[in-house]
Amino acid sequence: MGLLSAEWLKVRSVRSTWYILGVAAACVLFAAVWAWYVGHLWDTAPAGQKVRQAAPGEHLAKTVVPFAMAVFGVLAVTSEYATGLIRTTLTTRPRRLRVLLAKVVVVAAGATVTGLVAMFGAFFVARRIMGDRPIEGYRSSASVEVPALVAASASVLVLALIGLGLGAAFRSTAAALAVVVGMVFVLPTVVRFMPTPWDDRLSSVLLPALPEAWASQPADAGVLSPQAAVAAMVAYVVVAVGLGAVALQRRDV
Amino acid sequence: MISQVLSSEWLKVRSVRSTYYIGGVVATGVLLAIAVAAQAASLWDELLPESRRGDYNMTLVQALTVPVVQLCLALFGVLAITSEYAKGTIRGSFTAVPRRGAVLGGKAVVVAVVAALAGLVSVPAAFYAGGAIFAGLPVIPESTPPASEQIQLLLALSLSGALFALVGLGLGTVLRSTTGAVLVIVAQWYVLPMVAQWLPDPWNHRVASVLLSNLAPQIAGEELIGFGLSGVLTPVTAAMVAVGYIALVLGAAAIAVRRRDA
Repeated sequence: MGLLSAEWLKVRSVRSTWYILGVAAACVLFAAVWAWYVGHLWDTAPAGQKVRQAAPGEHLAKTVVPFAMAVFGVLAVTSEYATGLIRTTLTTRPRRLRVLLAKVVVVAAGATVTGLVAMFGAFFVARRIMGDRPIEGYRSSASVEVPALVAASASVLVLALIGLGLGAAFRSTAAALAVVVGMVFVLPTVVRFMPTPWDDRLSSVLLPALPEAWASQPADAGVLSPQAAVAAMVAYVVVAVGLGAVALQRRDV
Repeated sequence: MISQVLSSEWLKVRSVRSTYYIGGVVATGVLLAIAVAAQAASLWDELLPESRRGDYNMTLVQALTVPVVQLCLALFGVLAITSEYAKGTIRGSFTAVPRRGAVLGGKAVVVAVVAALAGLVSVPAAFYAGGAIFAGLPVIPESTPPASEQIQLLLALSLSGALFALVGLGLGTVLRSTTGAVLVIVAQWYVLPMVAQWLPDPWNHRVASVLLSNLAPQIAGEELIGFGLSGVLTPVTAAMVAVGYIALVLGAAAIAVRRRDA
């Protein structure tokens, strides 16, 4: 318990945590402003020229919040290395894996709550503001969208733990962030250039494809089945945190 | 004094490992494009005659190599200053050279030169190596603009890495945090272009046209990526926007280093 409350105190007391939560809150605010703006366009446009479809309010949150929480996970470890406090931590708590485990629990809890609040918050705020204007992207019933929102929230958790693992493995904010950016933003473009069928195969197991694969009912070609998508998410976390655990255990600090 | 500031900044850049890791990732971006070109060329014989249009143009390099180069060099620019703040050596730097603007200027020169050279080597290397792989194939000519017509685009894309690096340096100085600067770069490079696509016409292409990653093609007189529109910004305007980014961010950085404690 002492370890958990120590890690919780660390997370609470650094400014970066609040900036990152600010980013998540900004995504919800954006959903509200966006829905208001699209609704305004719909109301003011003359009949016949009305907006027929618009990006759903939660779309930005689905892209930004997982990445922001990956940064949160990275910083949960690397900020201690950057300031040298990791030496104090591991001197007072020589069982290093327990320290890592405590970080995993705290980061996972923070990411889960943030992910759920941001995804469902953005969705319901945007739907509420849009009301019953018949705009594509806002017309599906909420119960259809819930699995997608849950999957998106889970991807927030997954990215946060991957960030934590990579942070422990690299001990450097810049290196861990570079790898996360590569996995989330660069690789999806790169694998599109691979020869068929490897383009579909590889892009289906990359992180950005997994939440949708999990939430989609029938398995399309080039999309993992829901079970396989969940397994892939778990595998990413196990590999990243495993690498972090090995590095933490083996190396000097 | 100027030469001493420059040589000390050059020494710093040379002596941190991250510079070489970033160089390695840039090289990977080049090899990726070459590997994809080689793979496509190896499939040539299996293609139906009508699909044998060897359009080895800038598209592949622009999609694979250029984003990697831009992001890597932005990170290079960020780390040129934030690593000093993280380690506390910035205090030593400012004690040795109390004219802080000169330290920032020295960093800007070194970062710009290194990034420009890295871009001028990596982007043309990917383009010409890929072109050489396709050179022996019977390409249907009309689909491939000759390399000489793309020289402006090639140059603009090569130098876009220096633009990213200088913006990274300025952001790193203002924010004094690797994470903060990387977040802003990623937002500008990935999130804003996505949001810009959602805006109603004409705001979608107006906003997209001034985004950092869209400037280089427009400076070369190409269409705005993702919209197929030409002439949203003239080459001169696009170049002025690019200079404006650098002036704005480095200007803010110059004010920040003078006013704040180190």
